[in-house]
Amino acid sequence: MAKYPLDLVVNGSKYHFEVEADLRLVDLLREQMKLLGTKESCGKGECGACTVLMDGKSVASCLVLAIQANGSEIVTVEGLGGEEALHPLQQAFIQHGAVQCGFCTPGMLMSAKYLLDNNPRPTREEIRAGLAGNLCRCTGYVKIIDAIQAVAEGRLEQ
Amino acid sequence: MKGYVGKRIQKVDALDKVLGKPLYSVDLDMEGMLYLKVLYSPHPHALIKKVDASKARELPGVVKVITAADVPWLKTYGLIFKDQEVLVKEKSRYLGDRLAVVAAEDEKTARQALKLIEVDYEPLEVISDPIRAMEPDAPRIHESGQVLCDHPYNKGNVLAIDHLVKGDVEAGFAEADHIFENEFRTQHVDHVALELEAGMAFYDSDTDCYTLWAPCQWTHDIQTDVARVLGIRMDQLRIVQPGAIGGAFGRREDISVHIILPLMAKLTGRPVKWAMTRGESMIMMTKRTPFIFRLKTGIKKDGTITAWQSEVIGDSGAYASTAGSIIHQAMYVSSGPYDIPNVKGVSYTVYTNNTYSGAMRGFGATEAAFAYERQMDCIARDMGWDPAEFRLKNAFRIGSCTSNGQILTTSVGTVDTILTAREHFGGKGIATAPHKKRGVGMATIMFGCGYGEGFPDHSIAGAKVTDDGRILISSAAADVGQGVKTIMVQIAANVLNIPPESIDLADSDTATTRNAGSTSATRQTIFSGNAVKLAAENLLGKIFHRGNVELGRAYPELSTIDGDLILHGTTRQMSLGELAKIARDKGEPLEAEGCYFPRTDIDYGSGQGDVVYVAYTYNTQYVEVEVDTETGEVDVLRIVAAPDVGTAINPTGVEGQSEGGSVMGLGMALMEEQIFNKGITVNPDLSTYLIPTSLDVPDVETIIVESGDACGPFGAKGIGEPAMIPTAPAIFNAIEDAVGIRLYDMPATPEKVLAAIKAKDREVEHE
Repeated sequence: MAKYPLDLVVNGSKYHFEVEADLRLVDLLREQMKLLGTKESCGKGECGACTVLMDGKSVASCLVLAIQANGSEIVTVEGLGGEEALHPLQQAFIQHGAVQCGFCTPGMLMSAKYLLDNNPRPTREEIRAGLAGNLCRCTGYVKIIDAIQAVAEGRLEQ
Repeated sequence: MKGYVGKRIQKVDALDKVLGKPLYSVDLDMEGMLYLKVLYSPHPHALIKKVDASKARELPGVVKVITAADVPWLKTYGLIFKDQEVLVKEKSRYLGDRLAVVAAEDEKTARQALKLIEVDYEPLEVISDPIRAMEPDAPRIHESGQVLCDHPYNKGNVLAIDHLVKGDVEAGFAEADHIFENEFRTQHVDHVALELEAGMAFYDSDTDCYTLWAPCQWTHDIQTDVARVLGIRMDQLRIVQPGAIGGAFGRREDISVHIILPLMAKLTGRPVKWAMTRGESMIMMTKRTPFIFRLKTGIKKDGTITAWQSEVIGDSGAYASTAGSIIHQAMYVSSGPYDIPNVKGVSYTVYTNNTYSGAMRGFGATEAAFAYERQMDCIARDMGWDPAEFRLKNAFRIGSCTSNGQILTTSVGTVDTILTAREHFGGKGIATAPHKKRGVGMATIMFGCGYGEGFPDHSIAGAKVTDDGRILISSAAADVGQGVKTIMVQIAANVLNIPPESIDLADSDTATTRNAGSTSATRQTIFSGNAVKLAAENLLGKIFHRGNVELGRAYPELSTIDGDLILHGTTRQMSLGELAKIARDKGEPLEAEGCYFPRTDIDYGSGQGDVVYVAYTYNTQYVEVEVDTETGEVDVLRIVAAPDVGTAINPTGVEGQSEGGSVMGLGMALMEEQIFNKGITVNPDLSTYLIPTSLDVPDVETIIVESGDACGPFGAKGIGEPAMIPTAPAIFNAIEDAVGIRLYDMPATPEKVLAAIKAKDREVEHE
C-alpha cells in the first residue's frame, strides 16, 4: 500500500512519519509511537477510551485516520502531566477515588481537560454531558464527576 | 485497633493509572512476536464436515495455521465440567466455537488468512430457548462423554438438577392465608469490561517452559486447567498478571486466550499475541446467565411468610462453565434475607446453543434478588403493606435460619440497612411534567461471601522485611480495579504500624506468589485480607522475637513505629532494615506466611448445612424514578444504598464499589440485553449493546453500615457483588410505584414500559 507523508506535533514534539492511508490515529500513537496510555475498547467511537486532543478538540482516535492529523497538534495522556508535575485533573482523580481499573481513565482525563478548557466552571450536569462519550464500567461515574467538579471549583487538596 | 484501617487511603495504583503507565495485556509486545486470529464457527449448531486451511497456509506472512486435526492430543477444558474443546472437531455448539487459529507476521495478514479457510458444515436445529432444550425430542447439544445427571427431561441437555429442602413446604402452604405465584425472567448481559481479552505467550524450548501474560481472576486455577489441557506439569506454565487488569466482573474466571496462546507459542517457536475485538469478545465469552424463576409464597394475614417454593431454570448456553453452580446458588437464595420455616427449591441447568453463561457479579444472586424482591414487593402491594415494614417483619436477625439451614450468629445487617436507607432517603420529589410520574422502590438483599458450600476456599499471603526496611507483601490476589491491593496494604500497615508508603506488593505471578483463590465471590477482602493479616501478624511475631534477642527486652517493652523497632522508656531503637539483615545473617529471616482456610459445608441432597458461607453481606437500596408515560422512558433520579460491610477497610473503596455496582444494576434493569436470534448475537458491539453513560445515572448516595464482628480482617465483609444486587429490583419496584405497571422481565426498555402503560390504560377504560 502507498505511503503518505505525515507531519504532526504530539505532546509538544514534532514528528514525521510515512503512513499508509488506512492507518488510524490510535494505531499511530500506540503501535508506532508506543504511547500506550491511549486505550482502545470498541473501535467504533462508542467508548471514548481512545480520546485524545487534536488541535484542542477531543476526538476518538479510533475514528480519525492518522493522515487526517497531518499538521495537527495532538495531546495524549502522556502529555497531560508527569509524575513530578501532575495535571490538577490527575491529582483530583487520585484524591477522589475516581480510578478503579484505569482503562477508561486516560480517555476520561482527556475529555475532562477538553471540557474544562472550554468551560472552566461547569455545573454537575455539564460535567455529565461532557463525559457522555466516555464509558466507565467500574465507577458509576460518581467519583469521576466529583473529581472534575473539585478541579473546576478549585477545591484540590495540595 | 484502627490505625490505617477505616481510612480513605489513596489507591496504591492510582498514580500510575492517571499517568497512563500500566501495561495492560493488549499493551504487551516482544521482539519477533506473531499475531493470532481465530476462525469461529459459521453456525451456532452444526456438524463440521471439513476445515481446509491449505490456501491460508500459502498466504505470504502466515507462519502457522492449525485446526483440530493438527492438535488431536489437546484435552477439553472448563471451570467445573471439562466440556469445551479448544478447537472443535466434529460439531459446533455455539457461534464462539473455534475452528482454526492463524499465526501471522501482522494482524492484517492473520485476518486475511481467516477468509481463505474453507469450511463445510451441516446445520442442525439451533436451540436458543432452554424450555425447548428440555423437551424430550430436542436434539442433544452434547452427545457423549458428558457428566449428566439422571432426570426425567431430555437426557442430553439438562446438565444438572439441584434441590433445596428446609422444613415442610406443603405444611407451610396449608398454614398460609394467601398464596402468591409469579414468574420472573432475566436476560443475557455482557460484562463489558473496558479491556478486551488479550494476552501474550512465550515458549522456551531449552527449559520446555511456557510464560503467559494474560489477565486472570484466579491465576493458579487457570494454570491448573491450561497445564492439564496442554499435557504439561503446572510448573512448566508460568502465568504473570499484566501490570493492570481493565475490569473483570466474573468474565476473567473463564479461559479465553489462555490455552491458544501458549499452544501457538510452542507450535511456532515464537512469541505470540492475541487481542480480541469487541464483537469477538461478546460472542465468544461468557454471559450473565438468563433465568426463569417460578416463585410461590404462602403468607399469613399478619404478614408472616410461612412457605416459599422456587422452580428455577437457567440457560447455561453451549457449555457448562460455572453455570451449574450459579443456577443452584440462585435457587438456594431465591427466598431472600427472610426467616422462612419452610422452603423448597429445584433448579435446572440447561444447555442451549447460545453463548455460554458464566460468572457475572452476583453469581446467580443478582438474578434471584430480582425475582424475590419483585415477589416481596408485589405481595406487599397486594396485601396493603408498606414495603419496608413487610420486609422488616420477615427479615433476618441474629438467630434466624437461612434457606440453607445456617443459623446466623453474627453481623446480620438486614434490619439496619433497611432502616438506614429509608431514613437517608426521606421522601420523593415532585414530577417535572404532568405526563411524568414519580415512584419510589426499595429492595434488600443478602450475599454469601466466599465460595461456601464446602468448596475448598483459601488464600495464602507472604510478608517480609526487606534490607532497606520496607515491607513486601506477596499475594496472587487479582486486582481487577476493585482495590484489593490497596486494602492489603492498609491491613499490613495496620498490623505492623508502618505507613502504607513503606509497603510494596509483589507482582501477581504463579512463579513467585502463592494461591490466593479467585477475585470473585466477594471473597478477597475476607480471604486475602485475612491471609495478609495473618502473614503480617506472624511477621510481627518474628520481629519481636528477633528484637528480644538483639535488644534483650520482652514483648511489652517493644513496639514498631514507622519502620523502627522501639524499646519503650529508652532511646534505643533499631530500624527494621537493620533487624532484617541481622535476622537473615543468623539464619532466621524476617519472612512469614499467612493462610486463611475456613471450613464450610453443605449436604447437596437437601441444600442444608451448618456453615454454608463464612459471612453474609447485606445491602438495602431505595430508588426514585420518573417515568415518562408518553415515551416509556425511565429516569433514575436517586439511588440510596446502605451496604453492611462489617467494617469498611477503605470507605472510598466501598463507595466506589457501591456506585459502580448500582450503575451496573441500573444498566441491567433498563437497557442491557445481549439479544440472541437462533443463537446469533444481533447486537455484538457497543453501538447496539448499550451500557449506562454519565447521562443515564444519578449520584449514588452510599451510607456504609458497619455491623462489625464478621470473620474478615478487623470485622470486614466483602462488597463487590452485593453492591449491585438490590438496584434492578428496586428500580422495577419504583416503576410499579410510579405508574402501576407490573413488569416481570428485565430489562424495562421504553418499549416494554410504554406497552405496559398502554395495556393498563386499556384495562382501566374497559372497567
